[in-house]
Amino acid sequence: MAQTLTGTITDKEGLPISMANILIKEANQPQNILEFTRSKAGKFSLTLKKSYQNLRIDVTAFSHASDSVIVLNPHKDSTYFFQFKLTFIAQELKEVVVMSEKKLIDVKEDTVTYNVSAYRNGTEQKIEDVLKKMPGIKVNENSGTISYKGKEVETVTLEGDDLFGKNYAIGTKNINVDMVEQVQAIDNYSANPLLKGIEENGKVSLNLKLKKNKFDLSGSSNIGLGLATEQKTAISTNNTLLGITHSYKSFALLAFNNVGLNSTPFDHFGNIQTAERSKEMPYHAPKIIPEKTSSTPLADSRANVNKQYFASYNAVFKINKRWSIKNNLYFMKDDIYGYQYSKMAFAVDGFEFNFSDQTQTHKRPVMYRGDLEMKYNTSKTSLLEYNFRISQENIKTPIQTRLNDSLKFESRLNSQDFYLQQKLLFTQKIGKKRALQFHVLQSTNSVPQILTLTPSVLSPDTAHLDRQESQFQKNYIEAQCVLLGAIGRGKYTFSLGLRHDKNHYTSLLSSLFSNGKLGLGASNNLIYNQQAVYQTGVYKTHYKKWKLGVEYSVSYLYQQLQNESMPQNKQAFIIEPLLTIEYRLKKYSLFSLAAGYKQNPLAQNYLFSNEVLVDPRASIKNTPSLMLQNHRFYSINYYFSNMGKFFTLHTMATYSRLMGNFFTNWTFRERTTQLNNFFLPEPTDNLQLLFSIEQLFKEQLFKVDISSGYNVLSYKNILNGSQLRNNQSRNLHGKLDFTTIFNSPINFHNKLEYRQNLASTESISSTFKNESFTHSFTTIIRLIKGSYMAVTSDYYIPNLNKKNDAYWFLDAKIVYDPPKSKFNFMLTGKNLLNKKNFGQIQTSDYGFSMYQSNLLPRYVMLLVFFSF
Amino acid sequence: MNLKYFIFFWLFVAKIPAAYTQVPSVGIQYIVSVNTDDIVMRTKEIYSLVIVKNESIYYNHLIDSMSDFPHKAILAQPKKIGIGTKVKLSDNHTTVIAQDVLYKNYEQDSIIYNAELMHTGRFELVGESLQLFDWHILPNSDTLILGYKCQAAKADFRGRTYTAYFSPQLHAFGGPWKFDGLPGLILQVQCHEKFFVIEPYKIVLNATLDPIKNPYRELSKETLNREQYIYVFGQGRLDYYKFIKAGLAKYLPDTPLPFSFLSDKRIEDDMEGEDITDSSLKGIEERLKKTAERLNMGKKDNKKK
Repeated sequence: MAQTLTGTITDKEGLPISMANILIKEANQPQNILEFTRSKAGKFSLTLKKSYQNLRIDVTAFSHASDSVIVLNPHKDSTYFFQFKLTFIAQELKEVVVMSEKKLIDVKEDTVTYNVSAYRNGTEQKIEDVLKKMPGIKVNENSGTISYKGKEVETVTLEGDDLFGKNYAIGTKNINVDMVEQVQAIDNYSANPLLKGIEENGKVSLNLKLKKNKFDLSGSSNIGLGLATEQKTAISTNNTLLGITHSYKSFALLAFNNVGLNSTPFDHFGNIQTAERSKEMPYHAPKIIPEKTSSTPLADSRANVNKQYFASYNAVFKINKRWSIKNNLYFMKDDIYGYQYSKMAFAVDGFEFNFSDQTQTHKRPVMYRGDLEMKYNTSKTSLLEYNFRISQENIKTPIQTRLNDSLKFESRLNSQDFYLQQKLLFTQKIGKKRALQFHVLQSTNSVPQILTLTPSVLSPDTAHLDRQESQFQKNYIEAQCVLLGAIGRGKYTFSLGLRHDKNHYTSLLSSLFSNGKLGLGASNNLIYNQQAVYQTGVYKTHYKKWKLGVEYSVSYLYQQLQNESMPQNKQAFIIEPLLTIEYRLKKYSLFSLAAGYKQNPLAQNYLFSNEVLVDPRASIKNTPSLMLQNHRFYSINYYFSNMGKFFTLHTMATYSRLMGNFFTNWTFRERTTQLNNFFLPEPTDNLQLLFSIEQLFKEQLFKVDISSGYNVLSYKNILNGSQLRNNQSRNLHGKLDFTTIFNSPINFHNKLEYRQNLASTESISSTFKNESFTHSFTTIIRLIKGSYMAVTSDYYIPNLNKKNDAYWFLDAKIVYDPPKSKFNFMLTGKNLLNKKNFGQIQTSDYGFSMYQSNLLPRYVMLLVFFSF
Repeated sequence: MNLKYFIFFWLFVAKIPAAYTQVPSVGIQYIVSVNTDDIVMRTKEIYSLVIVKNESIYYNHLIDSMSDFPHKAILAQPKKIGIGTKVKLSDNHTTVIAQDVLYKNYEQDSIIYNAELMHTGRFELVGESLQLFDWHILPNSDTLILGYKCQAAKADFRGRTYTAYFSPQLHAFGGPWKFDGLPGLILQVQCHEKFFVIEPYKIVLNATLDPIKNPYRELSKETLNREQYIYVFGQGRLDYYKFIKAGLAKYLPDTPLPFSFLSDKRIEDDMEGEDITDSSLKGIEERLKKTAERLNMGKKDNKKK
C-alpha cells in the first residue's frame, strides 16, 4: 500500500513545463534519489514503489530554480496532489570546461582502478616498484607477496587471465612498468565464473591492464655490466616476452644476476614461505634438517651474495570457447654465498655458556618445475578442471664452520625435494543460485637429506666423519563434495570430505672411524598415518549494516604412529566453530569481531624419538605425542578506507591461546646443544596489537604512512633440565614513512623505524632488552627532460646502547629515458661506502646473541633497457 | 541511390560541429570501448554528446579515419563500400568504418540512428523510443566523476546488465548512445561483463551553440523500427549463409558483426546454435517468413522510397 503523487509543474505565468524531473527522496537523505518521474505537458503522476516515513519531493527543470516539499508521515494508500510553480532563471552562463586530470584512482563498486602513470616518478623499472606506491596496496620487499586492504591477494591477472596463480611475483617482479596502463584491485574475486554470485569468499585480486599497443607481441630486455669490489664483475640481465592474441596469452622470462636481485617467486636466501606454500602446507613433507638461511633484517638486495639464473614460461591457450589450457614452466639455479659470525653469551642455573662460531656457506639450489591446468566447459553450466604439478628441487650446501674460534668442521648438506600433485575439480551449476563441486586431490612429496660432518662431532677422537641421513615421504589424498548456494540475503557452503595422509620417516646417524669401520648411531623408522572424515558448513548473511558469518567443522580424526619404541594411536571427534560479525559503521568504515576454536594435530614435525644431527652444534629428538593442540582465538578489527580521498586506517587486536604444545628442553654442553621436544598441555598466549594509517595529501603533494605494533608472547621451555620456565617476549615496533610528490625537480622519501625487544623469565629478575633504529632517506632529482637521479642513505643502529656500532649505506642511480626512444639507460651504484658485514643483536629469555653476516660488496653498473 | 545517400549523409553530418549558434548547451566527450572476445576487433573511440534544449546528438569523430583501432599499425587495403570504408585489419579480420550518429528528441520521445547490415556494408535508419531502460536506482550517491557527484542505477537491456552513473547537477536528462531515462545526465556506463564501457573525459558547459536538427531529416530513406531492422538484418544473415553454402562467400564484403547486433546479446545467444545446413537455413527462412507476415514486410526489405 504505497502513496500516489500527482500534480502540475508550471512557471510563474502558469505555462506548463515539460521535461521537469520529480525526484523522490527520504527527507533525512536529500542527496540520494530513490525514485523519480518526469513531467509531460506540465503534468506528472507517480505511484511510489515503497512506503516512506518522511518524504521529500524535489522538482528540477532546466533554466528554472528547483523547488522541494517535505511530507511528514505520509498516509499509506493516499493520493497527494502538488502544484509546483518554478521561477525562470535568466543568467549569463559562463562557458566551463572540465577535463579529466591524470587520475590517480577511480573507485567503482568493488573495483578500484589505479592509473600507473600517475604514480611514477621515473625511477621505477618493474610494475612491482609502482605497486608499492599505490594506496591500499602493500608489497613484501623480499617475497613479493602483495596485500590489498589488509588481505593477501589471491592472484595477479593479466588482462583478466590468471597466468601465474599464486606465483604472481614472476609477473609483478618482471613485467616492465612501461607495459602497464592500469592496475585494478578487485574485491570479491572469484576464479570460477560459474560461482559468481554464489560464492562469498571475500577474496581480493589485482588485474594488470596493458597499454593498447602492447597487444600481439611485446617485450623488454635489459643488460647491465659493471664492476664490484675486488675486481669482480657485476652482471644483470632480464629479458621478457609478452604475447597476447585472441586465443593465447604468454609471458616468458630469462634472467641472470649476481647483484642480489631475486627474479623468482621463491626465496632460498631468507627462506620466507611463499603464499602458495603456506596454502599447501598440509601436502608437503617437512625438512627435518633445516636449510641454511639468512636472518638479516636488511633487504635481500643488500645481503644476498648470489648468482641466480631463472627461466620461466607461462601461457594460457584458449583452444575454443570450451577448452583452455594453462602451463607454467620454471627453471632456477642459484649460488648463494654466506658468511656469518655468531656469538652467544648466557647463563643457565649458575652455569655460563659462551659460543662463538664462524660459518661459511655456499648454498646451491636448483629447481625444475612444470604446472599444467586444463579447463573444459562440459556444458554452459558445468566446468571440469584438472591441475598437474611436478617439481624437483636439489640443494647442495657445503659449509665450513669454526666452532669457538678453534675447532674447524667441514659439512655438506644435500637435500632433494620431489613433489607431484594432481587435482581434479568438477563444478555443476544447479539453477541460478546453487552449485555442486566434486574435488579430488592427490600429492606425493619425498624429501631425502644427507648431512656429512668432518671431523666427527659424536666421536671426535676416533671417527673422522659423521653422516646423518634423513628421509621424509608423504602421500596425501583427499576427496570432497561441496554444495554452494545463495538464499535470500545469505550464502552457504556445505562440504563433506575425507582425507588420508601417510607419512614415512627414516633416519640413520653413522660415523666412519679411522680404522675404516662404520659405526651406526641413532636411527628412526616410523610411519605416521592420519585419516579424517569431516563435514563443514559456512553461512554468511547480511542485514542492513550487519554481516554475520557462522562456520563450523565437525570431523573424526584417527592418528596412528608405528615406530619401534612407542607405537600409539589416537581417535578424536573434533568440533571447530568460528563466528564473525561485521558492522559497517559508516560508508567507508568497518568494524569486525571474530572468535573461533580449532584443534590441530601437531605430530608431523615431532615424530622421531631418536637423535637427528642437524648441524655441528645441534641435534634434535622428540618425545612423540598424538595429543591435539587446542587453539582459541579472538580478534577485533577496525578498518576505514576512503580510496577516493586516499585515506586508510586500520587497527587490530588479536589474542590467541594455544593449549598444548611441543616445548623444548635445551641441553647446553661445551660444544653442542641438544634439543628435546616434548608435549605438555600447557598454554602459550599471544597478544598482538596493530595500528596503521595511510594518507595521500593530494593538494599538499605528500604521502604519510604510519604503522606500529605491539606483541606479547608468553611461552615455556626447559633449559638444562630445569623446571618448566615461564617466559615472556614483548616486541614493540613503530614506523613513519613520508614521501613527497611535488611537481618540482626534487622530491624526498623518508622512513624511520624503531624496534624494541624485551625478554624475561618469571623466576629471574633480569630482563634482556634490545632497541634498534633505522633511518632511510632518498632524494629524487629530475635532471634534464627524461632523466632522474636518486640517492639513498640507509642508517642502522642495531643496538641503541652502542650507538657507535652503527652502519651507514649509500646507494645512487641515474636514469636517462630519452623521449620517443625504445632505449633507456641507468647508471647505478650500491653500497658505495663498501660496508662488508652487518651485525645484529637478538634477545631471548636466557641471554643475548650477536650475528654478523656478510653483505653484497660495492658495485657500479651501467644498464641498458630496451622495450618494444 | 547509394551515392546520393552518401553525399547527403557525409555533407550534413560532417558540418554538424559548425552549425550551432547562441543557445547554452551541455557537451561531453566520451571514450567508448567495445571489448569483444576477439582482441584484434576491440575498439576504443571518442564520441561526443551535445544537448541543446530538448534535443541531443551523439556521434563519433571518425570520418574515413582508421585511428580508432588499437591495431592501426596493421590496417591495410581500405576500400569504399556504401557510406563506410572497408579496411582489412589482418588476414582474417576486416571491418567497415563509418560515422555513427544518434539523434534524440525528448519532446517526441524518439531516437534515430544509422545501423549497419551484416556483410553488406549498407546502413539502415532505425527509430526507437527513448524509454528503453527500466532503471533501478541504487541509493548511494558517492561516486565522483570529473568532480561531479553521481548516483548509480542498474538496468537489464537486451541480454546484458548495465550500471550507469548519472549527475542531476549537470543536467536533468541525457546520456550517451541509447542510454537515457534517468533524472540526470548519464556520465558513465558499463555492462557487467565490461563488454561495453563508456567513460567521460571532457565536459563543456554553456558553450553557445545552434539548436540541433535531426541529421537524417533530408534523407529520403524510411526509418525502420527495431523489429523491422532485426528482420532486415536477419535477411542479410540468411543470404550470407546461403553464399557460404554455395562457396561464394568470398564475393561478399567480409564485414564483422556490427555493433547494433553486438549490443543485443539475445541475438548472439540465438545465433549460437545456428549452422549452415539445409535444415538450419530452412528453419531460419521459416522464422523470417513469419516475422515478415507479422510486420507486414516483403521478402527483402520492403521499404518505400
